[in-house]
Amino acid sequence: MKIICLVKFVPDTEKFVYDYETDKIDRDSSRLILNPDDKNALAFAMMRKKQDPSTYVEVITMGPLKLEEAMKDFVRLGADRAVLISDRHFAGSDSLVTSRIISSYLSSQEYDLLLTGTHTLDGGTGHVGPQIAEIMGINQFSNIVAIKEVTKEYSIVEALQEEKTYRLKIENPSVLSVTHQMNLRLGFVRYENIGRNVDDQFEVVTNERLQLPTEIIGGKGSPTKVRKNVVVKREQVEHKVVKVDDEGIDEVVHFLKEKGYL
Amino acid sequence: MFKGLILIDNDQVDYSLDLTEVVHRLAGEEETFVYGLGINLPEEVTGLDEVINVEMSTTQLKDSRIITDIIEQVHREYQFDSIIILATEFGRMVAPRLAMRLEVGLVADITDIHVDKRGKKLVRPAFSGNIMASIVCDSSPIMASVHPNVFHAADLSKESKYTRFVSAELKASTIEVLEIVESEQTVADIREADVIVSAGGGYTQPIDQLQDLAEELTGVVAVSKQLVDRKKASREIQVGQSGKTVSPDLYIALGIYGSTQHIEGLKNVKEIISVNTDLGAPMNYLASIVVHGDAAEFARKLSTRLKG
Amino acid sequence: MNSETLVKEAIIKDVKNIVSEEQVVTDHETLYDAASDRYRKYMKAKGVLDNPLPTAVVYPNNPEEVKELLMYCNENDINVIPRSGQTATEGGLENWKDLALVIDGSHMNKILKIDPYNMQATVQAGVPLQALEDELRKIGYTTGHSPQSKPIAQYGGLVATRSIGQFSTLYGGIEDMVVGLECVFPNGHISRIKNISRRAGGPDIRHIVIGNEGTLCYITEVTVKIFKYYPDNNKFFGYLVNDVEDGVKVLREVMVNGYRPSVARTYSPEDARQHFYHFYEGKCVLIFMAEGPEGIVEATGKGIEEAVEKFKDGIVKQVDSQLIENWFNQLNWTQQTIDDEIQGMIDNDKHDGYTTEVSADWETITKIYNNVIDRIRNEFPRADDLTMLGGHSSHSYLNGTNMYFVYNYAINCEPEDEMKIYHHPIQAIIVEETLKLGGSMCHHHGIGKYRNEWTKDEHQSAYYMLESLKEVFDPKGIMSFGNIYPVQEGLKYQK
Repeated sequence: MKIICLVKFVPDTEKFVYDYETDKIDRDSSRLILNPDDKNALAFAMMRKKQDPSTYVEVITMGPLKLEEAMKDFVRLGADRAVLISDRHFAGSDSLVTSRIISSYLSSQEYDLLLTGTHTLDGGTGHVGPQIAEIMGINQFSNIVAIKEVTKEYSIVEALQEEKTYRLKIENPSVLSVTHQMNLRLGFVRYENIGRNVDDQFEVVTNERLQLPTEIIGGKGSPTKVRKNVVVKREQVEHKVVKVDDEGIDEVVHFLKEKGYL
Repeated sequence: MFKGLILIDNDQVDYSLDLTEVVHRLAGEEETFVYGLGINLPEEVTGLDEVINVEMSTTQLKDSRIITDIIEQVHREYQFDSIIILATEFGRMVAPRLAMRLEVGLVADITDIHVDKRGKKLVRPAFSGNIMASIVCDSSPIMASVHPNVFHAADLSKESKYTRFVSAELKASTIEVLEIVESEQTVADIREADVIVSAGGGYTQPIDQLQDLAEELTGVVAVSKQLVDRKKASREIQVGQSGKTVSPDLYIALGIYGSTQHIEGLKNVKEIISVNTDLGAPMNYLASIVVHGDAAEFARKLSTRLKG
Repeated sequence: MNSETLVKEAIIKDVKNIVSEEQVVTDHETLYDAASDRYRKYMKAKGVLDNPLPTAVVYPNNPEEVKELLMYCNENDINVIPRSGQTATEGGLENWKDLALVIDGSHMNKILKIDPYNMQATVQAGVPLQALEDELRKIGYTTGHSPQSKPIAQYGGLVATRSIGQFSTLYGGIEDMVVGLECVFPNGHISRIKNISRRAGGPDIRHIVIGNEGTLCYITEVTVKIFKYYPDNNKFFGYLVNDVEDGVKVLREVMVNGYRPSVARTYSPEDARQHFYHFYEGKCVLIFMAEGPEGIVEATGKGIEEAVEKFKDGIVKQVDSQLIENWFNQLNWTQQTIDDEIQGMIDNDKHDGYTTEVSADWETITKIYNNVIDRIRNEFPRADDLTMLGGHSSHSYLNGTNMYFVYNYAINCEPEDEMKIYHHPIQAIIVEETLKLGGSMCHHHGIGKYRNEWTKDEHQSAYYMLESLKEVFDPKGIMSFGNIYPVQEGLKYQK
């Protein structure tokens, strides 16, 4: 069985610096981390491979060249192959174009299952999974919290949709978008494997290989374009500070009465 | 005439109808005609210019490919200028498929729209809500997905024209629903509440202990992502970007740090009371009153005071 | 059954002939817990310790049993790990030998004598510090010794590690408090050093025992000084300071002018954040506590205020003394604190951080602090994972002070690799920078096993004296193998 995991690296939005004086954000101050939903997708594939060593796991991402080491680490963790789709012509691609580019690579690959995450930490659109499925003409389902069974023919999954859990049988090949609620552990590269040479299991795929016409890639080919970014100002509201003592409770009760909540 | 299509979600008809506001805003100065596409609509709806109802076997309702096929067929006939879809979990599977099918742009989770001579800008949060990005779409129809309870339709009294749409032959679905398990708890929808008592990572007692306090204030109990992650409460009552967007008049934050993902879930909140041991917690900046201390202790003391 | 098991079985049988059966514990959980101490706490919590388990944990009831056990082990080349409260933090209790006996002194827990007239108290090695302290408080006295482990630590370990407490600036470290003691050597010899206020009877042999970290003998009894306790006179002082250097200057001023507050500390901001988040405002925190008879407390308070005044340019503001007092009252560990941390390590893949604490003279200490912070931030490969890096000075002397570095990090690695990837590289930087400038790499936590690679650098030409003691008292090397004296077998755990 061959599983392809599509992962995304996102800014660690917990750790960045907001400058109250200039109302600016230093986006470089936040590192790129593996998106938690995607991490679970990969963890599932690795777990499968442990159970059945004949499973072939390939990990793909589209992003800047600086992701090379992170992708190689996936091989050091046990993946068979890691592919970094990167080209300066791809810069500025929106999700439609990103899906096109990735699908262009996928069309040259064989696979039984495509695993990816549903949501991204940076509030990303989550469009790529469904859009790749559309291009490849296969099924896709989101919000998967459990993968019960996988064969070449079908996948049996549990997906959460609006407070209901759906148990589904999905014809393969399919795109399964999982969530971090699967709670799977990916693990870390062991000390002795850090920096191990895995060059023969890693590849950078550029547009030279994919040969996509420039009009349909990058910012040019993207129907949605970002015109402006406005940093959300954090307003420092004047406020009263009280303690959790009788006086404080008095103040709070007074406030609640005054505003009509009591 | 600016023709907009909204997809009606049978389980969230009211929120779906709010999307008419999105179409009106997108149209700018233009006159609008708003269509609603329903599949096996359970009830009569008002507020739209025309309702297009499709009937089909229920087994195909959970297959985003089939739904996309239907919407594509309807669009080919009507040629909409804009298609707006509610960003439910299923909506987020359908909208991107449809966008790819029609090869158009899709802007997700929009929270605002600006239309002027230079064009139509859709605004969405980025970088965990710390940045508001203005996006333009140079394809048609303009597609957007919208979270429930973000836009509000002012007037939904209009009587709608009803049209039955017979779809062309649809492919068989290759997704089979084996079982549906409902969530056990029937909890009040926190999005409807005017008063919310919300517990975060700094609240160390069982959540049900807050029920009394919430009732005293005729409100409901909600939680932050941290408590859901710690399995102290269900996602049904989670406030935040990956939970629900709420717009109460009063929000009492008990031990909530106030990350932007959490604040994303707060829209048009009038008053915030923040209880925290950390004076520097960002949540405090939004609060009218900051209670500096332990959240559980505060809740207990306030509850006792209100009862007695 | 392989030969190793046979040997272990034989040892256990022999030990059960020396002491009664109930005094010998061999269940797996106890042995796993005994295999390591708080140094490798994360690996231990995750269940992946890779060092050998001891053969048994034995609880002798009296010094004679200790003697028999030591002689048996000495005869049969079995590693002995003396143990009491189990609060060790530097690997001192970790086992590196296939055949080892943990000899736990907790059963020898009698307070033998409290003598307020002569200001002395005699306890067996297994008496918890808190137990003696509680008894003394009843009569208006105190041990004056208050390490964070106070509720759980016992006298054997407190003396063996040359421990120090929070009020040391007034009361001194354990070495200032020990009057006399009794200990047992591997050859079975029991030495009693009598209680005397001072003598010049040759070199002070108590100091061979105090701080030996179990490498030379087994401590069975200790007599310590006791002090009158004046809790009503306690005075607290807190200030926010611009930086560590300013804080240290005030500390020095207080000390060199002749005052002895019981507590004199200065915290860097990140360290302050853990303790004083509610008032530190991103600054360094300076605290003092004055204790003792009224006149002394008043004078000490004045001395502190004068010192603060002299360096007022570096002082941002004064802090409500009540906040400082409250903080002190919740500072010490309990068994719950330790259990909570263990549960946290199991559930959440994180711990409460590590420390490496050093000492130096006044002009060097701030240099060491700055060099260390710089080097860690710039050189440490995983600096991005650091969630806390700072330190505090907490024990001052006429001629210098200590620096207690604290650090914590997101543990982005397997538990087995944590030490090699995070703690050891950071510790190495701290030790190197300290030794470079002539400071000491181990102010009060002892060398244990994990700083033994620098023992020779620490002592240099004086190492000869330390080495010779080991040759004489433990020629077969059965006592706490790996503590203080570097050994080849340890490299696989350290590197």
